[in-house]
Amino acid sequence: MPFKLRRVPDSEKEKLAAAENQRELEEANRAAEEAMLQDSEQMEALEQREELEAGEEETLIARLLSGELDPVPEERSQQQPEEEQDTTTFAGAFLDGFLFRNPSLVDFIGLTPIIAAGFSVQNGLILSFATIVTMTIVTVVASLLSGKLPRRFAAPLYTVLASVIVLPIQYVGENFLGESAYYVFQSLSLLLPLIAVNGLTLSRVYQFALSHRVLPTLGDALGKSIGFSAVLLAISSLREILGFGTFFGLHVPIFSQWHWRILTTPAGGFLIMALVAAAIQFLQQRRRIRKKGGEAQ
Amino acid sequence: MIQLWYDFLYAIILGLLTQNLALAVGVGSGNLLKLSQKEYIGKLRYFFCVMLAICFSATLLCYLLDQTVLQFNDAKSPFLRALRPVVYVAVLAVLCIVADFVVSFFFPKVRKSLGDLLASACLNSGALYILLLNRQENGGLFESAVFSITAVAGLALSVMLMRALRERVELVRCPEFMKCAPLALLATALLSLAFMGVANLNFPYL
Repeated sequence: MPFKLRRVPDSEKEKLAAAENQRELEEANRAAEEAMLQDSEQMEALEQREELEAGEEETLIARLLSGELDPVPEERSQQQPEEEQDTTTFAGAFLDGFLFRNPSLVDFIGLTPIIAAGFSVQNGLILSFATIVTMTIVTVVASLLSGKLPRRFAAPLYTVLASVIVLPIQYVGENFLGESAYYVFQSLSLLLPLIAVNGLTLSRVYQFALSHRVLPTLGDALGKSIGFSAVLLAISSLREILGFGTFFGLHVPIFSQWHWRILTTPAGGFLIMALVAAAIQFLQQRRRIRKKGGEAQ
Repeated sequence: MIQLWYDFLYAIILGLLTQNLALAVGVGSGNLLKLSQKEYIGKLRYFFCVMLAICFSATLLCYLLDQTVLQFNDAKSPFLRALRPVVYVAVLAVLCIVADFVVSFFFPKVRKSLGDLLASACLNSGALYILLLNRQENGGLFESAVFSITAVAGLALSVMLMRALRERVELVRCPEFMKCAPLALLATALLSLAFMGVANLNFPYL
């Protein structure tokens, strides 16, 4: 018997369509309700989280203001050196201090001689010599006496020792090296004694000398002080050439025609430091990019 | 009386603006860059309180020592004159030890939070420079004391200005090699230039 199609009456069709619409509507409503529920749950969770965060923030701020907490030093973390150097040997400590963690270009410690007095090469040489001698002797003595002296007496004692070391340098320079040297040392009479209280020496005593043996300490002190002196000499040369048009008192042909006196002031010192630091960061970035390129190939 | 007021005003302007330690003279610029970092915000008030107390008391002590025992200004021997910074550093060192004991005894939490920063608050270039400048200029007791206070206040002012400046400067879009330290140094140079604008400020005698 052939299958006969039964014609669905229009009224039934309408009923079916209405039921379908109803089901769809119900589903849509349920979905909307669920979504609303989820939203409200999420909102509640968010509110709770925000409250928690606000509470945490308040406690963090309170702890920060009271000085209990040291937040992660972002600026310092960005300046981390690429390569970790082994500082337990003389050579490793020297290289780390001289190149990878140069005190004046990476940590910006002890900038007073560079900014305040580093506007001529003569000043640069005198201050470099004083820094190298002072830092080497003080850190070696600190390393030898580490453990035998309470930590709270370390800074005062080593600062007095540093000032005793600077004293003969100034005395000999003023009295036994001729007239021209006398005037140079006289102009430095306020700034040369500041080498004794330079932050660089104290920071190396606390961070390195008190926890290392003599030989690595000697390497670190020489590396840091020679690195510092190299930067001081470079910046003082630049400032003298561009600011006065001379180098070591002698006229430089092209630069002697104009003088940017602003560079001999502290503002000029900061400016030159900024340019040197930017140049070094630029070179480091290029080196990093080349390294990455080499590894990729 | 007028002379006293004149000295007082002159010492304030000298310490805060014209001889501002970090920005106009360049002494303590390492401290300026170090203390204007985020991690030192909570410790700044303690640092400057200790430094203020040390500088003030060291100024008084050095003045008394100069006038009574040492009399450096009249010393004919060049060695005695060269010995002056050593004596000043020794005074600062003794005061540093005293400050360490006092702060540890009365404010142990502050001592703990300051750590090694206490030593650098007492023994820094700024403190020694204040003492040396006071003696070189032959300042009186009152003038020297006021200058020591205003010089430390000037350093605090420059650190706060620098911190505010660095917060804004860190948001600036700039080439990668200029970020962090070079930008901070550039901002310091501009701030220093602003202070140079008042370097020759001189008001006539009243």
